[in-house]
Amino acid sequence: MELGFVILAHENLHRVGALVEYLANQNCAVSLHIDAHTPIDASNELRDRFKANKHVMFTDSIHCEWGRFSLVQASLSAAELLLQRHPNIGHVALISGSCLPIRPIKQFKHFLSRHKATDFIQSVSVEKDKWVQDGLNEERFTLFFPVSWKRHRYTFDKLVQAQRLFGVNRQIPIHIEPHTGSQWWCLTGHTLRAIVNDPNRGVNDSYFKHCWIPDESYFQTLVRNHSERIESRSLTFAKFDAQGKPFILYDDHLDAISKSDAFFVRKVWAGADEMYAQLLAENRDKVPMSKVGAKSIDEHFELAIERRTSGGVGYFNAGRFPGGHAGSLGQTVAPFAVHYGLNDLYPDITEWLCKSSDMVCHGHLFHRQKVEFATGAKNFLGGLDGNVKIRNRNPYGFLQNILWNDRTNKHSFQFDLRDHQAVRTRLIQDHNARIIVIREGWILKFLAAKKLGKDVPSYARQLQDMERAFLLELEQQDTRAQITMFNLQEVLENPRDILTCALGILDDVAKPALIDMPKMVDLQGVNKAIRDLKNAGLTLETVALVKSAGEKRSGEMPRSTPKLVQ
Amino acid sequence: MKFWDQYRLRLERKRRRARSLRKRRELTPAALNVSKIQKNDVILFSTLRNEKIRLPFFFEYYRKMGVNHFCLVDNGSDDGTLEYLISQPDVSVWHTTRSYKRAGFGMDWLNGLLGAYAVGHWCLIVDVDEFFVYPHCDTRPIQALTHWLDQSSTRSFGTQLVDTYPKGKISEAHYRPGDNPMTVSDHFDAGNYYYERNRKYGNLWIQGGARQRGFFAGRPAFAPALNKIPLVKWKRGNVFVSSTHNLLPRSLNLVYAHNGGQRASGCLVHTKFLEMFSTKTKEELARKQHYAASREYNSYSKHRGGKHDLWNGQSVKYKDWRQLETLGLMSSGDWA
Repeated sequence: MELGFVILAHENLHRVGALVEYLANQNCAVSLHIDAHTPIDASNELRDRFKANKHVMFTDSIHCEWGRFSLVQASLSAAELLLQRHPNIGHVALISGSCLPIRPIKQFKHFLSRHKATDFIQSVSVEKDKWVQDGLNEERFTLFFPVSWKRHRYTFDKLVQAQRLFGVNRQIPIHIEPHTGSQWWCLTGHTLRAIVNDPNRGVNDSYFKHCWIPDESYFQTLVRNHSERIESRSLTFAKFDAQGKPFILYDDHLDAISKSDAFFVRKVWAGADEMYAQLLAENRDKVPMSKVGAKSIDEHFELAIERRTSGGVGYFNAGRFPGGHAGSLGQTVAPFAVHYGLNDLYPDITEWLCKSSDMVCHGHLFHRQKVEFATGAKNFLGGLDGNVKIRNRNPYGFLQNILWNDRTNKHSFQFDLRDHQAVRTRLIQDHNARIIVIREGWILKFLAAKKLGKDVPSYARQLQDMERAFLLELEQQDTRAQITMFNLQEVLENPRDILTCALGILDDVAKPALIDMPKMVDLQGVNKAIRDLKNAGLTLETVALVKSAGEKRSGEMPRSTPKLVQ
Repeated sequence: MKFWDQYRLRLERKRRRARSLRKRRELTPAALNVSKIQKNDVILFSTLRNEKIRLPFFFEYYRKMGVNHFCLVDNGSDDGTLEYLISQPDVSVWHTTRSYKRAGFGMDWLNGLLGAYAVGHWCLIVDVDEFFVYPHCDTRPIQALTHWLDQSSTRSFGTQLVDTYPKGKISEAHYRPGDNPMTVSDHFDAGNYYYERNRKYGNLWIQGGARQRGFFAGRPAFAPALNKIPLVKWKRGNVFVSSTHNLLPRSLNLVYAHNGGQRASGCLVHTKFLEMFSTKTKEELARKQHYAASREYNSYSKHRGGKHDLWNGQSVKYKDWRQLETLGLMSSGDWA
């Protein structure tokens, strides 16, 4: 006989029955192990069904447990039985009761006939390479694992910790060089017999009995001692998620799995009627082994792992709410620019930015009276309402929504001390925020008020205090925003710098030189405003300008460098 | 969480459970088919009143999804709802004319029934106008989802309520029995939701959407909560606290990933806004049986009830779950 199967089954025996029948009809020997946890009448029913079938044999049921030697024991006894009945078997494949053949068995036999002496088993050296995604690797072989992880997680973890503490290091038998790999293999009858009849079988078994997950290492290790030719890959497609449990396949995966370069898949959902009907149909056509799209099902699941572990950046839903140390990450979808105080210097800055850059440039999104969307409309993409009360209920959430809803564009908005301030703290902690600050920009507001009234100095003092508090916040340790600081004097002397900076802040490449500049606020009287404020008792950083801004010769001015605070 | 807080929640759970057992006595069985419930069946629970017009599609939708049995409480309908329900083979109906409000807005009754019939089952707790949408719901029945949740050692599944509304006046969204309400009331807000966390119970608190901007713009904090946990594998001792927004024990509310990334989650498409809405509002206001002194219905009434048009230029037409996933309102997580 050319081909035999060892099947480990523990649930959905009606599906297992269909699989066994299909394999037996294709003239394959099937040796079946049914887990002793399975209800006795279901397993008796299956035994009765194949009583007369000469291709099907059953081994005694033992209680199998995930991660323990019982699984290897079950595979070994089923393999022994198969080899005993069919001494001249060509290849033997180990599959589970929830596996299905992607390709017709005829095609599989043909493939094996071209690789008569090859063992298909994933076997990766523990020392040289890391096959295990997560969890114990080398320690699987050097510690003792007396309890089940599934049933006694706490004890299991404590025992591992204790053994690490005491430096437990089991002696690995001299002829064993630990290898790990997928549990599902396809070995030649010759190799399998050599493993089963190994003169060191007693030593092997008693050693692996105390290893962790021996079903991923027993055959994978011993095959190295007996095989003539190993191809280190599994012919069964199986993919594990971040929790370490296999991905389950459904009817809608049919297209993608048929492109895979494997011969079997696991694990198939028992309710996948369509998949069972199609893959177990007699007289199936040959499914071509094209290389195109062979990885598509793999990528599909890789994407799912990524979605589970780090997906969803910039939005929330019922399944996602990053908090704690993850709270600052993944809050906003992309970098955005905040212009603090630019509006005081350039009344038309929003229009100018819109015209000169590819950003969506909002006005004061957090204005106390109204929300100034770039579109000028009352609402924004995604049905976001420009109602001030709704915005103020969760201002940072409002900003997150804007950025997410219009995620194909880059965004900037104006912000200053007269806006609703609740968003500020979160803004500063956001690593996507690029904030341009003009210190003391508020002075320019006093140019509009031609002469300083009585209450103006106290208002100015208030603004100054607020600004100081803001600047202190920027220097806090949890500041993650990128902050570019200018003082008013620098800006008045050389306005090009800040405009270039504002335009290019979200770009990696530098912008070409500015052609037309936005209209600056009328600086007539800036000196007087500064003087008046100083006379009113304020300490200002900005000194009166030597020349009026209108006459300045920008080419001769020393170029000030913006200070970058991370 | 402090031991004392945990203990207080435990006491609350016990209290609510005792209350549900007491309130269960208010229910009279009108059609009892619970003996038909098989092991592993998915059961749907709901309280309803005068919803006959919605029922044909409701049953069609959930039967197709794979729900095996319906356990419904009829709160004094007078439009033939009860008779319609009794005629259904896979429905068990209980009848009561007692106060909806004093039964914790129906939750005490449902907690009582869940404790009696749902233990060991996956159950879906939704209103008649809510349609459960989960990842791959077009190709996989609900049993595929519950099997996967079992495999992942997860006992509850979170959703976000998405309010849909028609384009045009609500009173002109004509609906006939059997119609798919998601094609009549077919627009929704795509990105207008705000997320917070309820520290006490650990659940998310979601607000926003069309109802917030349309009816609660003046008092956004009072807008209805949109977080729902409608799918739970019921264990003896579980109770819902406030509608299906949160439940106890607290661990059942942790349906979201909090270390970054996202877990599989769904949506409940809420088709409240159909032509029946204005009559319903009047009726419910007269009955005064709704949450927080019926402020939700008061608000609807102030906003001219059915004459309101919730559609604005930014509304999105509802298609399917993939659209909701692209918009970020739900996720297939690692259930690929």
